[in-house]
Amino acid sequence: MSVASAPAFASGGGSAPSADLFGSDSDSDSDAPKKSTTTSKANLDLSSSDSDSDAAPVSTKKRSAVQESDSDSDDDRPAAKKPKNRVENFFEAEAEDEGEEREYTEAERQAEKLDENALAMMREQDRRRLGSGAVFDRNASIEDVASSFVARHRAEAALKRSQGAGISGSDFDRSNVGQQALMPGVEDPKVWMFKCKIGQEEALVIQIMNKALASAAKGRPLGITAACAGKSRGIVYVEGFSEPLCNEAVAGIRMLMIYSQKILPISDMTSVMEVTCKRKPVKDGQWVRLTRQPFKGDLARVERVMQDGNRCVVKYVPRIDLELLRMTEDKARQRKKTGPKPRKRFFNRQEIYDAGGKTSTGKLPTFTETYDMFDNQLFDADGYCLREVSLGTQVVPCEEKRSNLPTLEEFQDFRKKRKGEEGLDEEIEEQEGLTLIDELSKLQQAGGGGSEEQGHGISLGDTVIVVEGDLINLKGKVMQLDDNTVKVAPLDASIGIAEVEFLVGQVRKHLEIGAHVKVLNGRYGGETGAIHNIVDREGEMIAFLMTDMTSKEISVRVSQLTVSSDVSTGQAKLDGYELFDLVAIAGERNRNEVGIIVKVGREEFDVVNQAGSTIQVNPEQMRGKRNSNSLRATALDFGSNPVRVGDSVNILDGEYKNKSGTIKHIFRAFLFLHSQTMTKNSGVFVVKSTVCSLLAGGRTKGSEAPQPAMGAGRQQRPNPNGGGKMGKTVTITKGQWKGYMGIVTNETDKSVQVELHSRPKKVFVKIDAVKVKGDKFGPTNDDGQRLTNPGSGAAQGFAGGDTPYMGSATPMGGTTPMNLGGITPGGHAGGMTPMGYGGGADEEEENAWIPGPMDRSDADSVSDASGNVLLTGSTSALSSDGTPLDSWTPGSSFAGESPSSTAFTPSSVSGGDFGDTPLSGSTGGAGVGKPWFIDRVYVTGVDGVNYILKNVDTLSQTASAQPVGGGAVVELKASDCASRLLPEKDDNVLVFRGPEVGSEGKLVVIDGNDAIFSKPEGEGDQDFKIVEVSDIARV
Amino acid sequence: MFYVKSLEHSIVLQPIHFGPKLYATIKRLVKESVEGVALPHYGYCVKVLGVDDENVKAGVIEYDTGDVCYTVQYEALLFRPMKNEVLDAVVTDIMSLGFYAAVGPLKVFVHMSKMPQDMNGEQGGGFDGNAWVSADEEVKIEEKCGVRLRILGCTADDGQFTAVGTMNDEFLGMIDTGDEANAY
Repeated sequence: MSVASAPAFASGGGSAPSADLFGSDSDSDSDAPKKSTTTSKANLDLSSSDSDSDAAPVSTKKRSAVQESDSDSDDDRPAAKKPKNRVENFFEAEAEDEGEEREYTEAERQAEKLDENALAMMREQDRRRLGSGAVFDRNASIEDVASSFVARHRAEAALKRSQGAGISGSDFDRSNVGQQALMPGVEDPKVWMFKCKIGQEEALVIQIMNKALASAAKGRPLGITAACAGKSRGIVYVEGFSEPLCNEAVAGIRMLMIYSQKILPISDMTSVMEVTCKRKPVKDGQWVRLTRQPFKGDLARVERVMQDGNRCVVKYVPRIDLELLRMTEDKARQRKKTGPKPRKRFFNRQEIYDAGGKTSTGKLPTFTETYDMFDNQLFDADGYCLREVSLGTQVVPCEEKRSNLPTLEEFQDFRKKRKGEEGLDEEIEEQEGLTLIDELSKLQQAGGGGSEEQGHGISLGDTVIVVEGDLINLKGKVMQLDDNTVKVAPLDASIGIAEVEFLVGQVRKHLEIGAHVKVLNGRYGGETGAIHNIVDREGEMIAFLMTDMTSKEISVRVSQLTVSSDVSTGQAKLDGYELFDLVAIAGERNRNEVGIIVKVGREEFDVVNQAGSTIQVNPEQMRGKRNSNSLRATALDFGSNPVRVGDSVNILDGEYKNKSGTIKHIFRAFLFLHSQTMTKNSGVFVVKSTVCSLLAGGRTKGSEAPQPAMGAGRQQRPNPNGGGKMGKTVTITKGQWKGYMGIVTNETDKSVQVELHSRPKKVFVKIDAVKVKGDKFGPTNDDGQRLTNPGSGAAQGFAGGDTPYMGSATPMGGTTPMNLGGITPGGHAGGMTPMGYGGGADEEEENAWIPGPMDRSDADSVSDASGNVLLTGSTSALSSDGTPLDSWTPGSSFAGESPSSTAFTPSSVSGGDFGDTPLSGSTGGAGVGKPWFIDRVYVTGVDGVNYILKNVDTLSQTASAQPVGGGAVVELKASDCASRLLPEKDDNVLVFRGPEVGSEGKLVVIDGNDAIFSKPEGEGDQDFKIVEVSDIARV
Repeated sequence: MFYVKSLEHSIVLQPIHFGPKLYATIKRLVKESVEGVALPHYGYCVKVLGVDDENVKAGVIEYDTGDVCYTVQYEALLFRPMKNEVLDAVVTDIMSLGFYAAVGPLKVFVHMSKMPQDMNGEQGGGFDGNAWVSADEEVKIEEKCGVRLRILGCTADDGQFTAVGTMNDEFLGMIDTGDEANAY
């Protein structure tokens, strides 16, 4: 047996430092239709180590090898085999064939070990075949031949299995287990590393190789298995089984620092051989992304590449934080660290000066121009920032990753010149837009070139359609996916085939019209919507989607889509704010506005404010979210039904008449609605709550009427339609608790639960054993009719149909209980009334406490509510039975648990000391309600009689009134006046508000909303004035 | 398409409901929770036709809560939009990209490209702000008018079917001006 193998040595230089041991003959492998990876490169071609012309697939070759071995099983095969048998101690082998240079890597050695198993198997098979005669023996029976084929194939399959890890391109190849088997172990040779001068690595490896060859020629081979230079600079690796042999091998090699010898841990051995992608050099004009804060992710363009190719000058849109200039040093530092990312804006010298900053001039190396310098950054005349950066660490080319490609918007942002200065025409902009799109598509092609496989976008479970071949138009589900084949299970089970295999190019992703899909990548990545059309555009299927959120139409390649039931909410987040957040915005003069985010851009938000207009807002201008307030809030719709976030409403009037929408947010009396069918502002619009009506069925169950924000302590609303005793004050007339008084806290058909005033106890009594004495607004009789103070002379105020009491028309200030006796009442917080007046208290006092039924938790919404909601909304609510639908004054004259009512006596309330108390803020509201409550004005009382007012007391809102038709003068309160008497032609009129307030004259004519009156003679020239009819009163 | 099918639903009951009216409660709850809801694969449940007492299986007590879970078999009338089904719909919303029409609970979107060519602007006609008008102005699709559509595809996501339809075919198009409806 001849041993013909050289101790293989590596010339580990060049670009492939892990030089392949079987450099030449492994070529035949790569011809096989299989992929190979560097570490798992193995040589299966055992018999023909020098057959570089053999391009047949491995399996064929193997078979031929097997057949070959039939004839000459023992001559050249062992020759090729032997060295591998002894590969682990090959340095003991005699080198006879010195022309061959070989280098062994861990992977190959491993593979070869497996090869041995295969060979053993093959040998066994050969023996069997020899025993049974020649393969194609004419005498052999057909069965024999057949069985020999079967055996052969079985052996092959076994071979394949056992070699799985070693055979590149096989199914096992990429599995983790396969890779793991290739890892070096303890029996494998060890690696030592030596330091050397940087740049000398390759030369040193060649020196070592020469030495090895020379000594092998002398018959004393070096005891090492390989030497190589890895990717790390200044290091040479030497592989061998023992340290002394290794030392001997490198002895005498100059420039190699022997003393720096170090053994490499086994775990690190593979990383020596790892191949890293070479960094592509950048070119001028190329797009890159910055990687350092605060510019992370920003787009930049390479202006000039520096000589070594590792550094370049890039140009980008700066982010200047002018706020910093106005801050103290400490605060500025703080802001730089933690503050928001400054917005992209072009450099403007004037802006810097205005903010109190200074600029100087500076130069860039190798650039002749001078630039403005501010904050150590250089800016060119267009306002861009220029900076020299190092490639890879400070910038990365956009083309490297598909996801890194710039979007059209980014391009536009980059190109956007400073406003006003350039004065770009629309046309130019349009042209520029076109060139931008061209550039974009070019980039995408360039970027997509390397990832063609990604292009088909097929993944497991997708539905695909066959586009070529016999089975064209077959639809199926992808069951298995390889690099270039897919296994498809036909959707139509009647075909009777379980799975068919296709090339990737033969199938195409299939989506049905109407499917709900999500865009996987690209410009619209993350959007979701329903497909409404699919067209074939030059062989490429384009789907048209209606997006969920914004009802836009977008067109996307089918390959970028996947079926999904997600509903996207658009761009994720910016500075913690999301789409459809209710936010406060810093407005002019420090007034905060509130609006809803309808678009989240890269740098700024589009916000629809209360007025319904869209504004662009930077994150810096945001003053926090108001979502939670909105979720708690309720507003009243046209019919005074409380509406909350999530309800659907119809709009009855105004710009959006007859539309309907879902409430996204509530702010005071404004509803921020969202409608699928509106395209503007992502479907968001703003209306006043009072022009909406709650859609029937908008809420699941009527009984779930929201418990407005108050929570504990608040009683349930009384049923306005009578019947319900809930919340009413009752006396018990029968049984054990006879005579006790309390509030009904729960009721059933037959019994009620009464919370007793006098004892901390709730008792159940039969419903006929209680007598309603009143409700939280005051005493009533059993029919729910309000008891009035007969002495007050006031008409029965709650009579149906009449103008209800407006809180505004009452002497509010006077009754503010806070002011009464200096007693601190329960306060508003608990929802309990602070008011406690005696049983005989004047009625208007109660009226004064019918404020807007609004979210009481929000102090500022109250005033708003009483302005808006009360005047319109609760009007109808009050009139039906005199019981307001909603009020925040559950306390009553009987309400013993109301701390305030027990604290002082009724007399202190009805005393005439109202005048002493200053007008509270809410009386302002009274003035708005009946501003014409002035001396001499003609009014119509609620009783229908016309009066002339005299001696008006503005504080208590009372006056003595002289009936127009004649009669006794009566005391009249503002609340008793239904309206002012409208003046007619030639009547004397007084202007009580508006710019002409105070002037008097004779009415000439009323024209629509305008009234024309002439000033009396004697005041100079006859002077005609035009005012609004609503501003004048007859005197 | 309407069809009747036997389906199952499970109801979780609190112990408070146990008593003589148990079965009535279960039936009521089945109705309440299923009627009007879109069931994936089956379509909208229009009406629960009946629940037989014997189809209410014995309940299973949940250990943590004491509630009892009943599985109930019921017959339901279902409405399932089918691909290529022709339906009469009422236009509910007009948009610049097309319009939405309602077939009972189902909303169908008809894109402009799925309208006749003399209506989507290719050969005249088009969107005038409130309506889609044909070139000869004879056909005017506005809110509340009736159209006949063919369903191109539909999807069911949580509790809602959405469909895409076409009007660009023989015998499809406006079938009712909706004047009577508009008059109200």
